[in-house]
Amino acid sequence: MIRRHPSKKVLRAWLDLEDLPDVDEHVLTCERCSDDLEALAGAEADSSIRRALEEVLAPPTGLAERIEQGVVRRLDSRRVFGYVADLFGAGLETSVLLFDQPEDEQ
Amino acid sequence: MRFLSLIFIRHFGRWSGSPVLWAVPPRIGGGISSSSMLDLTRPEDEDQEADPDDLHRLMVEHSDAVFRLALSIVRDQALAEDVTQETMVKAWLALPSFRGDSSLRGWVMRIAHNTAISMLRTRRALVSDPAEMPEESWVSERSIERRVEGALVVDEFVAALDLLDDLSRSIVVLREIEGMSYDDIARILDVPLPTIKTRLLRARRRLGVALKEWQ
Repeated sequence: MIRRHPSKKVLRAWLDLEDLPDVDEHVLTCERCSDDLEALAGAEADSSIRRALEEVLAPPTGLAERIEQGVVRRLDSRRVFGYVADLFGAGLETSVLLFDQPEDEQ
Repeated sequence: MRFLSLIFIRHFGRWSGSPVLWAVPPRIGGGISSSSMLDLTRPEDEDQEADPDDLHRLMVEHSDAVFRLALSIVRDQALAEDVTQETMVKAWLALPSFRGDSSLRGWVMRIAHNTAISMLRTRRALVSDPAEMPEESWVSERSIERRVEGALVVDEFVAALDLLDDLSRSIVVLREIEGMSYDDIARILDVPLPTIKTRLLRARRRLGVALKEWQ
């Protein structure tokens, strides 16, 4: 990783998608360079990126209902499994009490 | 026998008593809201039923956002739905441990990100032959409909998204769609602030180039 801060010209080239692995690695952790890059890039992104992302990543129709039904099913089955495990654990505990004798009695 | 029994009881006995593992859903005092996370309280009685309204609100308020983040990472509609469901189960069960020192949305999104990465790794490990990975388009049905209409060139944009690494896609979604601050994104993704800023700038540039084709 390069230790010196890259020049504005190099940062601009990196911002313009040039393949500069050393710079890539440097700017990931350098606060000064990340601030410089923000200044070079200008203001916030235009809203077209947001609109495009919303379009491409749009959730399918009825997602929330489907997910809720699935979650309720999962929680119900886990609860039932918990009861079974409780019964199993209680049975085991009883069997130990009934059949296992303390070591000092043996 | 005694030794084995004790081991069994130690594990099963303890597990079965755990409210987190055995999924007695938490009772939420005043409902769930990303703006009023102080309403969330631990259940007074762990055996009481969950309030269906609270569960419903959790789904309605967060499942779309979770799905978008998940889809951007796993790039598979069915898997993204699985991630969303898994995230919601985890969030619901862990809700009593939510301290409210960040927004509820941020907390849920952190669970979603970790779940998506974990499930994607599992999928990649299971599918040893790349030819077995799904090849159909992973974008939303709405985009495909518009593409059929010939109204846009979505391929360029999707290709640009595909070129981004998983981290950059997550950053772009959390910033551009969810409108989260750099600090919140850094907390959710557990990476330094400069990484967020620089990845975002580069991703914007790449997507912007692709969008010139779109407009």
